[in-house]
Amino acid sequence: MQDLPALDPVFHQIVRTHLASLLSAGSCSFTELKNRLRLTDGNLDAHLRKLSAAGYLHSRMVVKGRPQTIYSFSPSGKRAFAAYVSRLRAIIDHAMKYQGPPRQARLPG
Amino acid sequence: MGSCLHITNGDDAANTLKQFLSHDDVLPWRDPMTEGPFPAGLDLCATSEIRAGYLAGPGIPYDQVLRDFQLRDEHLAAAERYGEITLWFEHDLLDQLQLLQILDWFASTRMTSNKLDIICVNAFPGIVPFHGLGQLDPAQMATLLDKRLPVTPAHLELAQSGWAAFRSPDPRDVEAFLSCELRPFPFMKEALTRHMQEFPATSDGLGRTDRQILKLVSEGVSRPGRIFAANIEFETELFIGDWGIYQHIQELCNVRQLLNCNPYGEFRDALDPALSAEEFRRQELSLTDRGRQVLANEADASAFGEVDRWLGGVHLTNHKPRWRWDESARRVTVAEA
Repeated sequence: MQDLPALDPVFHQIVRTHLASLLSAGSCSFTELKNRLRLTDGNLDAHLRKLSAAGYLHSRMVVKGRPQTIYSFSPSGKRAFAAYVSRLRAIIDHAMKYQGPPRQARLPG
Repeated sequence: MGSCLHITNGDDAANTLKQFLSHDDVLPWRDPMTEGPFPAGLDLCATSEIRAGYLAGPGIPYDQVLRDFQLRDEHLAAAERYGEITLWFEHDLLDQLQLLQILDWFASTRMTSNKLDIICVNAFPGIVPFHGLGQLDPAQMATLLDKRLPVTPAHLELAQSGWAAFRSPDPRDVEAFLSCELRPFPFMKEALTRHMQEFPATSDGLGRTDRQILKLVSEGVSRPGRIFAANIEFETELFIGDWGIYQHIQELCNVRQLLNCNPYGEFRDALDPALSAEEFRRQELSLTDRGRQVLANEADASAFGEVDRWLGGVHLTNHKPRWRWDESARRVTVAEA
């Protein structure tokens, strides 16, 4: 069996995959991310820290009445997520190749 | 990873870097370090918790401030993953303190410094007066890449000493640090001397910024935004932003009562959620009798209000030791009375 590509563990976690998917579409505030992902503050904090600890997160401060931090992918985060998606696609393609065509459901009798 | 990380002093410079270094990561070192506590002996994580506690207030919840610090610190901890790291800073007090903190951290991690560079400038052709990197456009900023210097073991060793001195409860440790050979940090001496000028002066008990604010108000500059703008003229190396100036006004007004504020009787912060931007701007400051006496050297500011202010690792209170800055001798002393 051929070697399958390793997946980046930072992204290979269901909440962070969704989080990364949102960030790949553009920058978001903490509240936007929290509402879209339906997470508690503490939970989102923990996942953002994982991204930051890998160098994948950029932030900028905006002041509209009160200061707010806006998050986005850093360039290395953008590259790493693109690589993750590409490797995941390779694994799925591999699985599809060996799975064969979709089976028809058998009817009883 | 193999890419580059650029660490700089705040969002203005960071946003400019992002425009012309689109393949590299950028980390702004957000913290108005000239104000508030930096107690000795704490690691970066514990220091960030203290800083978040100090900086949080009306309109800025503690959790939000702490999160920003934690994400910043996590990104710094990822430094090992980068092929090159460049520090972009300028000459003023805030930037020199940021440099000390960051280089102290690198020294403590024992990460190889051979991939660490520094850009530190106090001028740029055609930009007069030069206050900082935030004034430069991307093309101007890009020219500074040629001024990169490698961070040496001497930088790291001095930064550890300087950072320990800044966080010491005894300000004489800063003076001792300033007597060292500081050639790797050509702007450090002037910057930290400006820090010492924030200690209450032997002449009137005021720190330099407080005195500048009282002087401006006595000359008729009465709106908070105008005071911030006019204060820039007093500084040869500008380090304090609007937030910092408003903290000073708040203490002069609400604690020491050297200033009076109309129409509320007390100065209300720009981030006060109950106050509109227009209401904030319309606040008008004037000297009280106390303020006039202090400004005329007829009274000492320490006689008014409970002092509770941190300058680095020094907690200034009404109790002993009462540290004072002697401007004529350019040294710190202890007030006897």
